[in-house]
Amino acid sequence: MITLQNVSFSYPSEAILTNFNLSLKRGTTTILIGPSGCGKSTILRLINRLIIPGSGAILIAGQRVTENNIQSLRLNMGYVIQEGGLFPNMTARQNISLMARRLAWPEEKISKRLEDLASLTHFPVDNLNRFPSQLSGGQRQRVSLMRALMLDPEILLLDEPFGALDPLIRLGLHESMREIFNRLKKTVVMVSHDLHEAAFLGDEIILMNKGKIIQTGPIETLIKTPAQKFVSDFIRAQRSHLPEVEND
Amino acid sequence: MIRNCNQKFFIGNSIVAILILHFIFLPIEGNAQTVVKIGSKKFTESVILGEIATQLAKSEQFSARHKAELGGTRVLWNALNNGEIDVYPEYSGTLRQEILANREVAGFSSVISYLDSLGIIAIGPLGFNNTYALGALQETAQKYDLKKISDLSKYPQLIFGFTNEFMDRGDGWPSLRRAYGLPQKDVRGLDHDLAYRALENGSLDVIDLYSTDAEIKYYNLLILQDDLHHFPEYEAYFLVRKELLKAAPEFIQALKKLTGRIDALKMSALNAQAKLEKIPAAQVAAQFLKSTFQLEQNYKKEALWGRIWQRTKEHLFLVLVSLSLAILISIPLGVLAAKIKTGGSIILGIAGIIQTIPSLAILVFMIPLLGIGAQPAMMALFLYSLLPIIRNTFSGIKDIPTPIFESAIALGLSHFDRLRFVEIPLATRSILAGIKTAAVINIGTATLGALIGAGGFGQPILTGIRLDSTALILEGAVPAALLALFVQGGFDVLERVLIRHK
Repeated sequence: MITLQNVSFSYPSEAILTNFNLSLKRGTTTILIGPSGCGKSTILRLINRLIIPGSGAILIAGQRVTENNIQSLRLNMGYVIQEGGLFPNMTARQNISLMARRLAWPEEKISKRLEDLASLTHFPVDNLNRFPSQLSGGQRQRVSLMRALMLDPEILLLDEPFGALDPLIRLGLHESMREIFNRLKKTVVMVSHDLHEAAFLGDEIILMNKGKIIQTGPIETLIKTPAQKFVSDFIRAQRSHLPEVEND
Repeated sequence: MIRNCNQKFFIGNSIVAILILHFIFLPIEGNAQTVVKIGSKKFTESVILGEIATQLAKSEQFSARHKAELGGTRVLWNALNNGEIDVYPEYSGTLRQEILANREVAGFSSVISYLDSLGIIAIGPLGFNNTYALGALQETAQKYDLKKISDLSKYPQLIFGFTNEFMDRGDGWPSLRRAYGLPQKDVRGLDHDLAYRALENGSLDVIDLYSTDAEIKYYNLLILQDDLHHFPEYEAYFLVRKELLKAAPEFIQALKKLTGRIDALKMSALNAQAKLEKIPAAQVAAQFLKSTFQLEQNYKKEALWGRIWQRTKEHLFLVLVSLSLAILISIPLGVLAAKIKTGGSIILGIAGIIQTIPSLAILVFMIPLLGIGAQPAMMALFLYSLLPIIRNTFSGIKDIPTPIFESAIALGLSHFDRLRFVEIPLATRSILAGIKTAAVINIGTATLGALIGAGGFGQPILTGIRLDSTALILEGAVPAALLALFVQGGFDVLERVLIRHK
């Protein structure tokens, strides 16, 4: 579904990715994990073309992403980031429905979709008329997720969506998310630095370091057969946060 | 739909408002009849002479408009040459020393023929010589035993204060210093009317005077004898555009009757009535015409509230037009500056440079391009309003947090939709603050517009400074301050209406 071919990207001061290759299957949830600065967020930003690769190609459903087709591709790509990126000047409802309105969806279709999304994300419908500043952190992330899901995109890009939340709210959101991912069968790419989260939500985990993929696989593989000392170090560093090795 | 589309209506509305104001405030230009436009400089004698000419024109059944207190010589001379005024009182010395300073003119007859080549005739002389002189308080004069200008060379510690024109005109301070070998270093340029007050309170020791100034007698000043005969004659004339010979021959005849009718004593007396007895210049002129030519003038004094209302209209017109134009231009420029990588600093840089030009200079720069009156003043105010709005639009957009900015892109919104729904609405608070700053600066600066004939609250301030009348200064300053406060409050309300979110 999403392919990065020999992609390089660098800032004037440092190279982030060099000849990077990655292929993600349709309908799977992939977690990009690794220490900060390893290039995991860069990959999401490249897929959405918020930044442009220095060389190489990015393909979505076999189609090369260019300046000309990115606008239409973005409509098929929901995007959620750490702070939610909600527009503070609009209510939750306006945030979620903005793009649908720009695409001239009929009013009933919008209302119906909003109701469905609210129930899917366990968001109280009454709160849809509130501004982001009047919502809790967890509710804001749910709104952000609803906004990303509004047009029913095939791809969902999540850049540390739970980063700024406290643990209890986080747990609640994790459960909602897993339910949503299982139900909707989207191609999800999520960036995280939390192994627990990755284990809980991901079909596949990609552990990165310094712009390179270190190991790919389900959490059990990473734990049982670490490819490098870095893998076991990374797991050990986060282990205390893991309850027990998950089975499902 | 989305609340912040309001922005557009706001701008649209302001255009409509300008158009309406335009019709309300623009004076209806006279019919086909000749309107005689008279100018005067911003000192009392010039205003009285201008008023005399105005009333003479009216007594010959012409429409006449007196644009009083128009800055200095250059402003009037340019206005006369551009045909924005038809008549103004001028002095022979000023013509030779300032206006024709770069030309070799042998006698006054060659001045006349040069004027003729420009389509200007000189009517006069009126009968008095209002030359420059240097003066000091009697006690200063006694302390240093000053009698002649040459006596000054012995006391380098004396502080001089001269009018700005005197500081660099042909017969002014540079040549006076050379002629008399004066050693003084502490020489300040300032407004003539303020110089008397500085002299009185001891901040200045010696100032330049016009020899018909009413204050000479009032402050009992000692006039230093021009023992080297440095100062030329300053005989008063009316400079008139030739077109008036055909368009208003009766008025020209009436002006000609003034030749030799105002001697130095008479002029001093008229100045004293206006400056010391605070009789309005129009009334002084009317009394003079009555006693000299038995001309009855139906002079009526405008009521205070009528005057203030008139000034308010003029002031609001200047501010609203210039500010609205600035808003229309600056917001797009600010957006552009925020959006393009390299050009942004250029836009901000240019607006910043404009802002550093002193307001008086910018007003005078506009005169050759736009003449005198409201237009050049509005242009100057417009230029001054650019920077605060451009800068605040720029920073308002730049300060939008990256996650919000990028979310808008990632959502698939077009450039225009991002601006319309996200960037402009989020920058609104900052943009409004910029407009508010521009408006307040604008209201203050617009008071200078009176110097180039734009009217407004600056007019009573100028007259107040000229006549040393606190009441008149307040008549301009208080409404200007109130207007600024009112506008500031208005923007605070507008902000609350436009921005509901936190």
